[in-house]
Amino acid sequence: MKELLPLIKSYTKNFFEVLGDLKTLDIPSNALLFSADAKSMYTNIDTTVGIQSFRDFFTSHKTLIPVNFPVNLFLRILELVMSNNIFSFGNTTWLQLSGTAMGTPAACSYATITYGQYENTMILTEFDAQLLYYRRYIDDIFGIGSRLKQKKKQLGRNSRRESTNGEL
Amino acid sequence: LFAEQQLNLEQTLRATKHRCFHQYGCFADPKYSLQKNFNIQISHNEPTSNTQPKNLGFHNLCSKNKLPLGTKQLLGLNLNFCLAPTSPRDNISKTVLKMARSIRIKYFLDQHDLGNDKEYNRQIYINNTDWHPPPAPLNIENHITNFEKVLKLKQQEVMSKNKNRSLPNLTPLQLSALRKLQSNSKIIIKPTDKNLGPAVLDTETYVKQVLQEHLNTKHYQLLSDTESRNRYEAFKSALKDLITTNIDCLSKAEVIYFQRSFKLRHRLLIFYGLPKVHKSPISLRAVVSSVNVSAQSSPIGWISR
Repeated sequence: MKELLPLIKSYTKNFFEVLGDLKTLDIPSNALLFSADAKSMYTNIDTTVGIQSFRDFFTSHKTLIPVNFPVNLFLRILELVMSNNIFSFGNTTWLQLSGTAMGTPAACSYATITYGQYENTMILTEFDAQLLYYRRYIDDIFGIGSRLKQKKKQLGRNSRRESTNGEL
Repeated sequence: LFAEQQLNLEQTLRATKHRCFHQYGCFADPKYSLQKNFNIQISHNEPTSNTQPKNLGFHNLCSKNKLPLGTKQLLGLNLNFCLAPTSPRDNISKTVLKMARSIRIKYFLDQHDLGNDKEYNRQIYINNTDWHPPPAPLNIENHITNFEKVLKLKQQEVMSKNKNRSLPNLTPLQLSALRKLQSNSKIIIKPTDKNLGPAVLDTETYVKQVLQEHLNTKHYQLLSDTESRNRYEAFKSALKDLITTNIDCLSKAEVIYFQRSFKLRHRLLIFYGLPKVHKSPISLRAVVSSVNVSAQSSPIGWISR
């Protein structure tokens, strides 16, 4: 999954990368800065939506995925893992019904790609003209836009409705 | 004038020594080399309290239980603090055996030109504990043996020098707090979210909070013993089936990775909460530990790389 992350348009490696970008950016005086934070992103990703996002992601990036990459096996193992998050707490055993467990190595990439697929296809295409800069680090978004006032509410509404059950 | 200068110099030197001692618990003698100063310092049995950090920080979130005296001094050292054994450990043979294994493996890999094996993928590699490298050539083995001999002689020197000395790096107050905290199941110690130092909580409050904020919500379901066992076994067998039927899609390294992971002993993921002490009211961040969880973490490791 880590190798797939750069295919997400809003993907950023770290804070320094964003800082480097900002130094070279020509920002108009009427631009607006915005930031957003997803509410309980990990637990709010519905497993069916998550798996479907990966399926769509592989389809839309078909040419960039190595030919020998076992897409079907990957999706089936991902589904198996995400629907069997069994863990213990004290002497009790629990099953996580939605989302991914924080602390497992796949959690970060899973959340980044699931939401990234939604961004790639919905947010960044619809708001492309307004967004001068848009980056996300897992659940924290930072962006710069112009003429955003009218579209801002719509952006929030769309994020709530689609992709995950999460709220921005 | 010269005498006055000399006096000033001595005063500055005394003040610097005092400041260094107060801040670091020791001071170096500029007449000696760095190594010698270091050796002098570790050979002295300095009082532990002088060598300990002063900026202690921990969070007492207990409302029902009283913490033993010295808790702040102990937990303020942070959870990464390494406790020194009271006497030097006698584990040279074990350490040398580990080192010898590592040297032999390196030699074996070089000999068989496996150092740059393209099949090897560190992220999905599980050691084969059944395999032992053959001995390296005699000159290498002799070096290892000689090294062990010298190390053991040195160890004996240190042991006899410290025969009747106890060398803990905790003060008696901290040691007593440690014992009392260890035996008290009514309180629980957790690291905090954002790495803000350890926190002590009432176990009962912690469990209630975990249930209320996380486990008793729509995102989780409680499983009975039978349900969890059945589900876990079904998961393992489904994973085995998937790997077996798709073995042609996987590289040699991937197949070995899965096959070795199936042989390992398993335990379940463990859930715990980290108090968010930077927020009010203090909530818990849910974390699931996947350390030493081969059945669940091996497929996760494979998909996440």
